Amino acid sequence: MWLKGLYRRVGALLRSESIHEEIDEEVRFHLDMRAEENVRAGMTPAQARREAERRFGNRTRIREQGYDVRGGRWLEAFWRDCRYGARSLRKSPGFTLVAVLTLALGTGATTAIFSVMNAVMFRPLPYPEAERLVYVGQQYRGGLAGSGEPKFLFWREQSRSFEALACYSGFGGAGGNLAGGAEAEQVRGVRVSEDFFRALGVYPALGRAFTREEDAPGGARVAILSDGLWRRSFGGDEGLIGKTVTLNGAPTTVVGVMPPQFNFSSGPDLFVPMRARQGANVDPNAEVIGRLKPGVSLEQAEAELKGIAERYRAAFPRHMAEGETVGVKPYQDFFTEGVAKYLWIVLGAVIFLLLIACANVANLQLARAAARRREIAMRMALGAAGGRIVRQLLTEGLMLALAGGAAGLFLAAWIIQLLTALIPSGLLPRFARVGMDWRVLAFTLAAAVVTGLLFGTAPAWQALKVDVNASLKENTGKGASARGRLRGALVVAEVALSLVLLVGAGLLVRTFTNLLGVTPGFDPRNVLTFQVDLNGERYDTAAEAAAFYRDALERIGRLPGVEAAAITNKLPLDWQFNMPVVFPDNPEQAQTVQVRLASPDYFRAMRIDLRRGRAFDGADDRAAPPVVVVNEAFARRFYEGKDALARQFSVGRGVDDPVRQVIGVVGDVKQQGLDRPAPPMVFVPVQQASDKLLTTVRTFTSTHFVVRTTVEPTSLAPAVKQQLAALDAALPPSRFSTMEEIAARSIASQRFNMWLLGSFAALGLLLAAVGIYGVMSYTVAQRTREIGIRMALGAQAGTVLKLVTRQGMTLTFMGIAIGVAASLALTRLMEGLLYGVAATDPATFAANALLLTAVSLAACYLPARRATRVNPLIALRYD
Amino acid sequence: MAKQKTDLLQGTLDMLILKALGGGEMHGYGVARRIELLADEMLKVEEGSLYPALYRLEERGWVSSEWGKSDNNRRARFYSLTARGRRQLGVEEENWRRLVLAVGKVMQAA
Repeated sequence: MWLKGLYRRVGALLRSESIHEEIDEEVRFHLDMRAEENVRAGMTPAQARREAERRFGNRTRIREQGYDVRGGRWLEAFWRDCRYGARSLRKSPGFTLVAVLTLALGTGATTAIFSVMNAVMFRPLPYPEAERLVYVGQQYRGGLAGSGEPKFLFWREQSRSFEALACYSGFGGAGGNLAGGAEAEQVRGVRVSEDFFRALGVYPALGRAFTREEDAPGGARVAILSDGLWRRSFGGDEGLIGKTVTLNGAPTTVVGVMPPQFNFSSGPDLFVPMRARQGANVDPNAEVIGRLKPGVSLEQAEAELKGIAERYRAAFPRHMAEGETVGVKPYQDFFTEGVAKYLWIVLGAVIFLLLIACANVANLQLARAAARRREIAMRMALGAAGGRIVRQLLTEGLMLALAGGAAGLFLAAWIIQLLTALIPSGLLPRFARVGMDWRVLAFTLAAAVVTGLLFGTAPAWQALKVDVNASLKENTGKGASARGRLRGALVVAEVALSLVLLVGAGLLVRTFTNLLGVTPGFDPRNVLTFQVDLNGERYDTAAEAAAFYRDALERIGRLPGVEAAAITNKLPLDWQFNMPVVFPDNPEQAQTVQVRLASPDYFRAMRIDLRRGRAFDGADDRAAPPVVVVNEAFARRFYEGKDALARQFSVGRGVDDPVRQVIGVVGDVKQQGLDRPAPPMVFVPVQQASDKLLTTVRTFTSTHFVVRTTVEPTSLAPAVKQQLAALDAALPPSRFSTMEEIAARSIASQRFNMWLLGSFAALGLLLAAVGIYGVMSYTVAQRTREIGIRMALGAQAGTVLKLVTRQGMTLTFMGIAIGVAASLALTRLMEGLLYGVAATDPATFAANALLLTAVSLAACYLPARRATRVNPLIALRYD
Repeated sequence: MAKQKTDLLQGTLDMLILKALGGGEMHGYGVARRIELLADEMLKVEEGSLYPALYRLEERGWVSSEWGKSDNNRRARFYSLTARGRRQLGVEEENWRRLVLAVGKVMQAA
């Protein structure tokens, strides 16, 4: 009913002209009919007409009454309010400009952050009917993890809930060295099961998807290329389909090319069949996705899979842990879970900024309302209802807010560009394309309307309290003190909000400086790194690989400017790679630790400190006794700080690793990030690795070279490439980088967070300062007469200064008190973003409160000083 | 001989319109004529005020309207009772009967 009324009103809005026309037509018809009747009764036409009009009554009044009832009045009032509002805003261009800019800042920043959120969380994944896509994982203690190939096969065979259930893995020889294109290059690949493309609902644009036979063990070697790789290395040649390229030394037929807009996970270059199978040496963490059949709910699918998981446990009791089961969640959540909380925090922060902007505009509005008090009182005295005035002021507020929102959209577009350039890779899922769409526009509109109502209400509320008589007579009416209280409250709110922002930003600054102070355990300066994928038949055995490493390192070591060169299978501050270690005294109890295969000069090249014993060298080869070096975290964990030297263990299970003796202990090196403790780690001399150990390690990791230089590290890259090409042209080195870059990248998100929240806080502080300044200036202007009297009676400039400043600082301190309480409650939410500083860190709180006090003192001082310059003679005459 | 005309009691116009429309769809002039006939020309109704009243009834959802052709083939707006309007007519008739009864009793008391 209410909706229908609204509909009619909006309808009326669009056909304002026609309402009057319709009424007129009806009235004309009525009069004509009556006149005809009268003529039939014997009157002359003129008489008949007059009589009809007499009986009809006052046409004008009836026309207007009818118009009113049919919603026309509402519409007309609205337009009148708008026109009046526009006129009154035009009359004070300074106010309008400042208000619109302030609001544009608030809505613009908020819109930009929302559009990031939208891209990650609200926009569906870039696949058709993405709402039916789910992630299926093994579940324990609430978390979902990749389930591995054997479980996937079992689930696929038994479940009926899915249109397609598919498995994928970036490990296990998915990528590697590709030859046959423009030049040999390293490519990133994903192994996918046959149904993968059907599950995503995206198929190759050229050629076809994999067949069941190709996905079966022993199937033909085939690959599907990404559009990017196809264009980059094969010049977009459509004739490539069916042709053969060389992938890791083996001939591989290209059967398809994906469409250009196809986007998956980390953006691989190619796809190869997974050939999932039961048994050892398969990826235990391969991920499973499914497309639900239409009408099947996520819960139904999960219930079915949980039953299947129990059957799996009955069949393979050793392969399922205690308390392990299967879980299903929307595929989008798989990407957004980690980042959702972070985004909410950032959105919260930017909304605080928007609120500060609102408070400022409300304050401006109040100051203006004070100036317009006489105008409003005049209109009320002339009979305008209170409701009309309120509606008028709210309309004005909305007009300002919409103008601010529109300007904010432009600002947002700019901020989005800035953010896209600055957001460190890995902070957001790759598919997230930040931009504007209808959701963003709707959000901005909603934000504008809400803010318009927020800051429009303050002056409207004040207007209702206008004492008509007092206001018309003088400008020091009773309303003044209530207005003062409201303005004061706004200042308190601004100070409180900006303190919360400052504290939040302060904590992130502390986090970042703490991280800068963390020693990573190695010296990142002057180290060049790059990667070589040693796949292919030429390096199948450990001996062949070791020979390649030896030759390559020798060649690189001879280059001028090289101090030391070495290899490892994982760089510090990178992803982890762990394997079990088995202690001879307790063979059943395997412990999982970080495992590195390194060449002798690794510790020297990275400048990792040797704490005890010795590092391995070239003499520790296959013929020599098996040795291993451990880090201090390992010694602490497994030997409880007692001497680790001469202890024994072997690495991995079923990889033929002999029992090794610990010959040295090195310092800890950060692995998962500077903010995480260094994990226990063991270093095995690569030349002592068994064939099986090397195969396993190579399945999940690559070969990273680290070269310590005495010159600018990147300047050596061309020479290094040359040396390696001379050794084996089919092994292209890739991803040249310096360790300094890698270290910087590892704290890029923290740096970004600091800048982001820091900018919000700085803007918030600026707005709050402007707000305080505005209120104090207004107060001084209002109290000119009082100050004049005080000075005439002998008050000193200092006394006046104190008088005015005290008022402002009282408000500031109230705001700080509230802000501290709010921060205590809110900063707790960002604990996960902090390092080395408590969410309630007293020093950060105190420093920011002090900063805010200083800024607000400055903002009070300027108007206060103006007050001391009041000339009593002029002030007393001042009206 | 002219009949003596009585002013319309405040608030009864809506009821009369509903009653008139109870006979079926008609245009505004038709409503005026019907009230005139039913009242035997004893009521003084300002005909123009019918229209705001009709719009009000429409706004309340008791009456609906649409443009159509009149007997003499002119465009006219035709009004009819909605289901809710019909119910409302019943309510008003009942209220009116009670009012007349009560007022009558008071006025008859010496």
